[in-house]
Parts: sequence; structure tokens; C-alpha cells
Amino acid sequence: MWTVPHIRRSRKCAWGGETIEYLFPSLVLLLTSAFFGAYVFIPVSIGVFLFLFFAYGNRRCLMLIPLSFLSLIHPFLSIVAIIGTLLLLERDNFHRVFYIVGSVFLVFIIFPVLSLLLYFSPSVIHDTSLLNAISVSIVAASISTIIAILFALPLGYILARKNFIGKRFFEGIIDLPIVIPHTVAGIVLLLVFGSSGIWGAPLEEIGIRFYYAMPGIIVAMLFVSAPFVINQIKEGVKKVDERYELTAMSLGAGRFRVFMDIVIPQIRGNIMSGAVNAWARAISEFGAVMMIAFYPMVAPTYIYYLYTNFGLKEALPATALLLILTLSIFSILRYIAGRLEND
Amino acid sequence: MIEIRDLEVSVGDFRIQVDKLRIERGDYLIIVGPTGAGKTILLETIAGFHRVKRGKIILNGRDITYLSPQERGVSMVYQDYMLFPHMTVEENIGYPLKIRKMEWRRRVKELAEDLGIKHLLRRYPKTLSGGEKQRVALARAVIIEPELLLLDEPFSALDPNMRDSARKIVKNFIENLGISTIHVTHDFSDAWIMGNKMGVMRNGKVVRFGLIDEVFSSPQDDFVARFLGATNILRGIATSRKDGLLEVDVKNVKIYTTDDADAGEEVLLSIRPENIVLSYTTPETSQRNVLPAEIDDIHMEGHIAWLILKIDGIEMKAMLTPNAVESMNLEKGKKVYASFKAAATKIVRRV
Repeated sequence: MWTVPHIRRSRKCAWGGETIEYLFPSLVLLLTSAFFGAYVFIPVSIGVFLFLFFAYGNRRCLMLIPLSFLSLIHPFLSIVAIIGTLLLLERDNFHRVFYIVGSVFLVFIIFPVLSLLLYFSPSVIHDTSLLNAISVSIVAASISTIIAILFALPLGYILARKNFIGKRFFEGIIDLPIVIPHTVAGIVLLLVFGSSGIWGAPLEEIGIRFYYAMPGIIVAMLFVSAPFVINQIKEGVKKVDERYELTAMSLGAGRFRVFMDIVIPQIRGNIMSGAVNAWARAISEFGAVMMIAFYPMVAPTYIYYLYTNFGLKEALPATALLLILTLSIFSILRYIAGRLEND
Repeated sequence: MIEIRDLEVSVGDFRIQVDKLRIERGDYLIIVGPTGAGKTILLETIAGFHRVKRGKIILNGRDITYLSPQERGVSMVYQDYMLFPHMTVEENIGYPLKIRKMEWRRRVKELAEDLGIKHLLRRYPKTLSGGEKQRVALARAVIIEPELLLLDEPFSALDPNMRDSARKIVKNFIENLGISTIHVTHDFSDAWIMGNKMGVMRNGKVVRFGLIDEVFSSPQDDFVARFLGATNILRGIATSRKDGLLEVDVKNVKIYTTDDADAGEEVLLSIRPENIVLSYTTPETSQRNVLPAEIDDIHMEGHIAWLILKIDGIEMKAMLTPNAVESMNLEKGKKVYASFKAAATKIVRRV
């Protein structure tokens, strides 16, 4: 009576199957904490092994706890407990190899980010230049995203609905800002939007200045981030059967009305996730923005300025704050976009 | 009343050409044809979704050939209904009135009550069954009282055993409203139950058009005859007239028909397989066509037995019940007499 469920649970533990897997996140967690030294690794691993014991009901998980104390001898010996976890909870060699290689790459991203956060100190909020730079970044990225959506709606629609000569070529052009080096993008924009540029000079005469000014930042951000919105809207419109539009027209709606009533509500998830990606791209842009407008400083430019003038140590707290801010805004927006898309 | 004259449209590789099609107010026209005949394109052209190359479409005296879809007063219901997924049933049905800034909730309720879908008004389309979706789409299409209603295979997405009741509901509903309707289908049951006129399309052309019974009983065209049923089509030469009947020579077999053709003219005859009677002895009946035949093959298709008969050089299909085959002890290779009335033999085409 007692042994049957026990055997079934340990099988589940070994093969995963359709049940929820805990092994991979445990590996990532253990591997990450190992890099922070024995005093971080031991408590984390005790927590992980206790959790695995309760989740799988496999007593051998508890045997791993003493192994984690090996890291006191040398941090490198943390690997013994990690390998032990892998051997104990996964029987398939193929999955063992893929699990360990996969988690190493995740740690490659997670560990540096976490180490930076350690340098966060609340005192940076007294740095008014930093706060200025961050607000310039957020305002400029938001304006550039809105402009991108306004242009991407018609462009994405045309690309999704119409067939024309050179369509592939134009689609390639739209992706161009993603593939060219960002300093190249900056030079290109400087050429036309600069104070003596073909568009920049006449616009400056009517009072719109790009070089070393906010419009310059917005133009640079727009240039590098618009492709994300355009491609998302194109994919969204493709998924809306054109016969919805035709039906709405035969029911009496004009073209623009149909676009607002029938197309946009069905692609709002795409619009939102395109906007989120574009916004994130815009706020992270440094190369192109710096070339056309070093001042007013955006946040990445300010961090570069801190680093080059005062060294790594001075730049770290500001960088940590920027990281926390962008990560949290990005996750909230992504969550909203996901909700819209699932509707 | 809708009238189509010399219409020509091409969409991609498809081309449709309709020389003349005319239905009166309150008519229910069924258009049948094989897949790829251009039935849906014809509907979409009338609805205004395709650019017309030449020709005219006149609806109640108004030339609508080049009007945009929203100005036509023609409502289209697609096979998969195209209910707007982000709107509730109520908003879907009321959409045409909302566009026109008219009061819509009350009218939606009335229509929904007539169609028995009032309890669905707050739901979203993806939660509806096929039959419910269809009624919502129909309500949405007629709420503005269109001058013409276009239905594209409205029952094909439904469960076969739901189709009969759906046909009755839709038929009564449209009849009460008195809207002229064009209904495209590949299911002949739609035609018998719902329509009063019928057109047969093939390769983008309307090859036969008329009252339903007229089209079924005299197909007038070998494609139409073959499409409408597994009819025997024989090619022969009209020879002479005797006793008010025309004698046609089909590979030296003489067949009599009540239809008319000139002597020496090449004609196509159609003989429905269910009109052929088999017997072992010469039947003593009024049947004018009695031909000695040999059974070449028998095969069963559900509750139907198909017999392939060889009559000298010609081949004919006869349709019997499996019971008849058994009680007459019909087998492959047996010799029988095949008889059928001269009136059951139609000339479908004078070549």
C-alpha cells in the first residue's frame, strides 16, 4: 500500500514526463549561486535540496546536502553537488548533457546582471543628472514608440495585404536598421538630420533642431526601433482573415472604419508587443543616439560618461539603478502585452 | 430584381464570365457547380469585393457594378460566417446599425428572438456551435434589410444531421423577410428544399439557368446532366420520325425519344439509370425501347445496386435495389432485356 505511490513518485522524478520539472530551474539556481562563493551556495543548495525532497518525495535528494559543504574546501567543489543532482534526478544522458549546457548559458546572462545589482545603493537617487538622463530616455523612447506605431500601422498593413514588385526588397530595407552597426546608423542620420543636412538644415530654420537636441534623440531611437513594430503589425494583419474586412464593408462600414473597428482590435496584442520591444530597443540605444546628440544625455550616454571620466566604480550604482528600472518596466509591459495577445 | 449582363471578372488565375443572369424580387436562386467553378467569386463580385473587367450588375434598377461594397445594399454571409471574434453576439448583429448610428439594441433583440438565439447575446463567437454561429451571421446580414442576400455554402460547416433543421429555419426566416437571395452550394438537398430557381456553373460560366424542376428534369447540357446525377449520356445520330417519336441511331442500336431533332443531326441523349427496367423475357409493356443486354458488372453502393449493361457496342448504367438484384438472381454475364420509355429519354444537346 505504501510502496506503490513511492515508486511511482520516484519514477516521475527520474523521467519528468508530463509532470512539471523542477530539475532545470534547480540547476540554474545552484550554478548561479556557486559563483557567489560557498556562503551563498550552501544555504541556497540546502533550500533547493529540501524543496526537491518535498516535491519528488525522493529521500536521496537529502543525501546531496552534505555534498554541498565540499564548497567550503574550495568553491570549485560546488560542482560535485551539482553533478550529483543531475545524476540523481535525470537518467537520460542526452537530457543530462543538454540540461547542463543549457543552464550554463542562462547563468552567463543571470550572473553578471545579479552581480551588478549588488552595487545598487539608494544614494544614487540624489544624482540629479542621472535622474534627468533617465527621464530623457523614457520620454524620448515613448515618443519614438508612438511615432513608430503611427507609421507602422499603414506600412505593416500594406506589406501584409498587398503583393507588389520588390516586396521582399522593401522588407529587407525595414530590417536594415537592425543589422547595421549603430554607429553607422548614427552617421547616416547625422548626414541628413545634422545642422547642414538635407533635411536638418531647412528644419532647423523653422526651429526644429536635431543635432544635440531632443528631436535628434527621438529620430535615432525611431530609426533603430521601428522595425520591431512594423514587423509585428505585419504579422498581426496577416493573421486577420481579409474576409472579415470584406464582410464588414458589405455590412456598411467604410475602409477606415473597418480598419479601426475590425483590424485594430484583432491585432492589439501585436501592436502592444511590437511597441514593448521597440520601446526597450529605444531605451537601450547608445551608438546612434550618442552620435547625433551627446547632449541632452540619455541614460546609456550618462553611464558611458561616468565610466570614461570617473572609472568603473563610479558608474556601477547608476548602472544598477538603470538596470532595475528598465527590467521592471519591461516586465510589466511584457506582461500586459501577453495578456492582450491571449485574449 | 438583380440582373447581370456580360459580366467578366478575373481574380488570380480564376476567370468568370456570366452572359446573363436575372432573378426577380423574392426569388431564391441556388447556384451549384463543382469546386473551382467560380461560385464564390461570383458572389464576391456581386458583393463588390472584386474589380469588374466589363459588364453590368443592376440591382433594382440601380447600376451597382462599380459601387464600393458598403454602398450596394448587398449582404454576404461566408461559409465560415466571419463573425467578428472581438465582439459579442449582440455587438456582431448590431454592427451594421451601429455604423449607421441607428438605435440597435432593440432591433437586435427582436431578430435574435425570431431566430431563437436571444440567450446567446452576451457570448463571444468562439463559444458558439456551428448552427448558432450561422444564425448570428444571418441575423447580422439581414438587420439592415439588404436588397440582396448572398449565402456562400451556408450549411457546409454544419453537422449533417443538423442541416435539415437549419435549412428549415433559414428558409422560413428569409421567406418571411422576402429578401431576394443567391445561395451557392454543392449540396443538391439545398436546392430542392430552399430554392425556386437554379443555376449550374462550370469553369466560370453559368451553363444552365432556370426553374429548379426544369433544370433537373431537362439538363439540356451533357455537363449539367452528368453533374446533376449519374445519368447515361449517349451520343447518336437522329435518323427518322415514326409515330411522333424520333429514332436515334447510337452505334447501330435504335433508341426512341419524344424529344425533337432534325434528321441527320448528331445529338446527346440522357437516360436516367433509375428509369431502366430489367427483365428476362420481352416485357409486354408500352415501353418503346426494349434492348437485349448483357450484365457486364454489378456493384453495390450503400442501398443502391449499380449494373453496367452492354448493349451491342454501347454501355449503360442501371440503378436497382439490392433486393431486386437478389430476387431476380441477376449476375455478371446474364442476358436480360433493358427497357425504358421514350419519354424518359431526353436529348440534352444537339451537337
